[in-house]
Amino acid sequence: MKKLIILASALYLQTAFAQAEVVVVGNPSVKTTLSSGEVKNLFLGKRQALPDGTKIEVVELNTESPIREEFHSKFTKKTQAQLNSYWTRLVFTGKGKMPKEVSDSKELISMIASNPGLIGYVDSSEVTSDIVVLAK
Amino acid sequence: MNKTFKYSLIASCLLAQPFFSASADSRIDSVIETLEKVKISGYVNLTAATAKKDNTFWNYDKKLSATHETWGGVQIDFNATENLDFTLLTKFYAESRPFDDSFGVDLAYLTYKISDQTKLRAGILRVPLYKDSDYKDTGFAQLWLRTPELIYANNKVQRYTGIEILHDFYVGDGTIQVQAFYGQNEDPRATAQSDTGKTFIIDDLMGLHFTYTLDEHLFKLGATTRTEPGELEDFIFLNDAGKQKLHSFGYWAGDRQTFYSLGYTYDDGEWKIDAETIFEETDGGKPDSGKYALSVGYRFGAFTPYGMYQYRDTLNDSDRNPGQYIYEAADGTKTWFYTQKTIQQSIASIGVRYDISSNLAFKAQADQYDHEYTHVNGNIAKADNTLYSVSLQAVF
Repeated sequence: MKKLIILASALYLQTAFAQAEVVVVGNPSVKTTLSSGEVKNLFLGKRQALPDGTKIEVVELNTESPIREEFHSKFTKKTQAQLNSYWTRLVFTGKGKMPKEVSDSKELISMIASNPGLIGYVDSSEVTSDIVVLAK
Repeated sequence: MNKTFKYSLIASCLLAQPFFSASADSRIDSVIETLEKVKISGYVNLTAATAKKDNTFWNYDKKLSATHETWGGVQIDFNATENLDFTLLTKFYAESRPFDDSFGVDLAYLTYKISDQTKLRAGILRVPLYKDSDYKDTGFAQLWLRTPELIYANNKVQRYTGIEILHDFYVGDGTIQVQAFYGQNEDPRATAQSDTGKTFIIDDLMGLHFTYTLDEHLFKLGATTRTEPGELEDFIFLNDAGKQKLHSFGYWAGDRQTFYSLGYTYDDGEWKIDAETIFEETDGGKPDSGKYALSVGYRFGAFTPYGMYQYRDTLNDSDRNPGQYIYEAADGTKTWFYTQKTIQQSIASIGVRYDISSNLAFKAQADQYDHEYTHVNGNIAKADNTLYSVSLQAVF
């Protein structure tokens, strides 16, 4: 019986963790979805517009956020040190500016909800009706 | 009367308080608004190194030096309007360097964003000579402890005053960035070698570079050209014996030098591969060079060990022979130039980068240097040395 309870708990936890995943989100006015490559290009400053031409600015969560680490591990395949190294190359050559950062998901959702020109990322469990998922 | 005055004063103060508060608030808002347009970034490299032998290798000998490659920079970016930015990068060195100030303005330029894909820049800018030239001094931006010096060092033009246009072409998921520039820069080495008191300016520095990025791949193709400044007569001097001699700057004055580069980087977050080939061509007898570098690194968590090999060879060896390239002064004194028929140099390096935090890295690198010079008369000179270096490199 005890074994069964442990097994059930493990399965439940596994399902819970599997369900929580980082997603790229935008304003509901954005009517498109993004491929992994497009997300990578936007968050590495290589593109400033969506494939349909809509001008876009990306917003990052702060460096302490575990969701940020998960996002970059999934889409840009870079650690925080590698990201800093990457942006350093652009900043000190004047070829790019580091994205804006916000302190938490609530602030990010609020900014995106009121600005169609912003995209960011949150945990899928935090998605509200104020934003739409653009990439998983 | 006194009482009335006192009450009036208190009443005035009470009435004025909201006005002053409002004024102070608006001033604070204005300061905050201005500060939000300013971004300050910086980098620091603290490097210590020592060579195995006393024959100098990149200015190192057996004595440990912690100042030769220790430097930093502070950059201020001011976002003046939506499309106009001003950037100022000041740099400081731990020890004075020939032909470079120990503290001063490294870069200062205006960037005007014509569109999301096109930028125009003007001011004091970096020469994008090779793949990583733009940020050669920012150690944290690179995997290695230092850029491949056999390729990147000894280029006397690191920056220029002029204009540059950057345009991005989107090709599928990839981007081709075209960078075209034109400008001029003082040549302090030439100025130092002339007794005329003139300031020598390289006034036709120009280049065209293409950078193609797609997923984990980056390809760079570029060409940069300039003419050596001054005239032959500007560099004639009298030696200790009172004889007329000519400095090499006079012999190559007016010659055009062109740099061609082809670079590649692969970076998937684990593997980091860099390869670069450079050809330097010069009019006249100055040796043309072929330079090659290859490095491979692999990330294990915070550690990234790497290996690098660099090689440099002269290309037009048959152009240099005994009795060639001689300057004979009016008094009959001769000065010989380009007396090395071949120059071959190589550096094999191993190193490791350890990311202590997201903006601080520790690096250690060992370099084995070998060279072989063959004189036009057939004599061969060989030398080698080993350099051990450690460095702390940070950005903020």
